[in-house]
Amino acid sequence: MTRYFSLLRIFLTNSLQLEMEYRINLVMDAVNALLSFAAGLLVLYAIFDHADAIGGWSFPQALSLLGVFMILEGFIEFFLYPNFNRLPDYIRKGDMDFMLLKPVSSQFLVSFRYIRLWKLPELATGVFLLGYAMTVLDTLSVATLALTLVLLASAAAIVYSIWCMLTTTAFWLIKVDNLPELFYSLFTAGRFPVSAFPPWARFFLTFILPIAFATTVPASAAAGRLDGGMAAGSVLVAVFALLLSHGLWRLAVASYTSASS
Amino acid sequence: MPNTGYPMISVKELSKHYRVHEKAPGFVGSLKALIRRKHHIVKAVEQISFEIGAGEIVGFLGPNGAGKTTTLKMLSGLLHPTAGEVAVAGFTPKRRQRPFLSDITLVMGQKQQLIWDLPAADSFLLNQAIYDISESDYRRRLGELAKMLGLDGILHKQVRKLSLGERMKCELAAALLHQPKVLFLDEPTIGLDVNMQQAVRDFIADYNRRHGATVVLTSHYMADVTALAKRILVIDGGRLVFDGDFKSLAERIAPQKVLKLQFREPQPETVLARYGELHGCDDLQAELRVERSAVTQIAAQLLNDLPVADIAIEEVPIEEIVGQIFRGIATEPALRPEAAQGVS
Repeated sequence: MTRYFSLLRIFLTNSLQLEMEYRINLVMDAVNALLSFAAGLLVLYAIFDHADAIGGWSFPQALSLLGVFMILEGFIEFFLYPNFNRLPDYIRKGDMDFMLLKPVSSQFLVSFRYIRLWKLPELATGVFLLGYAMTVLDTLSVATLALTLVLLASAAAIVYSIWCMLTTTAFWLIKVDNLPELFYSLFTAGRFPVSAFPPWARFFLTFILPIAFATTVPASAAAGRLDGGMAAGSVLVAVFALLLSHGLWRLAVASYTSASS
Repeated sequence: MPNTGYPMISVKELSKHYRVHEKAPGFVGSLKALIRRKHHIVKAVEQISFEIGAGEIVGFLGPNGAGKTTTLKMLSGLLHPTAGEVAVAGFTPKRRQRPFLSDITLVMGQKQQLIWDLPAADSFLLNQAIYDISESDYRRRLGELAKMLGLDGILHKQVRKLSLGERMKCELAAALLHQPKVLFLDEPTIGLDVNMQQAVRDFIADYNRRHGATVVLTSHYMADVTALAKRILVIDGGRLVFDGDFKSLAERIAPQKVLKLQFREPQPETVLARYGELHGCDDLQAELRVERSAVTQIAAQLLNDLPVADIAIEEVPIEEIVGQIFRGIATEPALRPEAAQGVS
């Protein structure tokens, strides 16, 4: 276990070293994060100009949801994208061979290798927005904060697992750039509470592609409107998704080693 | 010191077959392939058996696509065999257990594990963590490897700025920090200049002497294999066609050497044919095949008798030797695959 912690430390230092070469990106992305923040706010203002609530969520509650959405979007850009984006190349160019011959988990090596540090502003903006919404809603307490953090962690695990599974198909399909993009476009539905969608879409976003657990559920906790069932469900779904992604990974590696040349 | 007591690697009737999809060229072909996939079986490795003792250096020779890399990948656990048994250092490679992976290493001349945009030293630190190497062991081993490979001054340059040869030296160091018992080297000298090839060869021999590691290497270059390996396995068409030392292979299969000549003025073929078997004569250039034992004498004669501008003595190309082995199968019982075991 300590081995994995020292590996994470090294991955972090390596990423920092690599990022130094692209300092200009940090500035660009700070601007980008602010723009995306402004665009998100504008949409909310436009909607609340015509209605008092969407799907039963008031304006400040919807702000907390936008905060959670931005945190997870940041998490994807900051951490998931730079790692899994490289998987098809690992397979084509043979890096995968070296990873499979290391006495540590290959899924770990692929998942945590890089972080895109300059994507931090987006994450930070999300945290700020969530904090602001919670202050307005007067829900800031140790208990809600702890619950929100746990549910954010589950949300991150769920998004990680879905992304991992989609990219793992690269072992069979080799070129899979479109799949994560597809997920990403569906993920943008997470800007709005699931209750705002028609029943069939709500069903899809909860049970098929569990985006509801990624954004609506943590935001509900932060906004002080969570039901316990959904909270427990979120943790269960996260554990299940992680196991599923690991299972698929093992299957993919087994197929890779039995078929590649 | 090498100790060749017990087998470190044992392979019994190992086979690897692939299903390959066929596709006619062009758009229509792609469309057809989409609807109805045709495939056939390629036998990349077919019923190979051998044993390699601890501390041995063994060279796999064979033309492209012969099955060398496939065999190496099965030995290291990257490929599951279709049939047959493999044991390396007491483990079954395809299970890729952690203690097994700590006992072996794989270096591929055409692929790299070093982080491209960072100095090699950072890749070394990464491997230190991956293999859980203590700080004192790490320092001692890196010091030894740096000295043996002459890594001074290149460890802290970004890998992408290194020459091909420097990069290969760093690849070797990265692959050996955990002090594996078995080294699988796939074309470790490919693309390197002659000096660097020599340096890599010397290092491998030296490392084997110091640590008694078992080395299995594949190469296109005859010189790699002759300089390092006392024992050679020739693989062609997925079959093991020779297992023995180089001397008996070369003498039996290629009793001749190649003399490449460059003249100051054109020479008639009839004159050249007196010195040896003429293999191509083109204006100012000629290639002669001469008996191994007589090569120096004939070279001296040529320099004396004719207006020679340049002369080079070379081994018969490996592809040709392997080709000859195949033509020899019909007549030479010792080179049949089933008799390959134990030939020396």
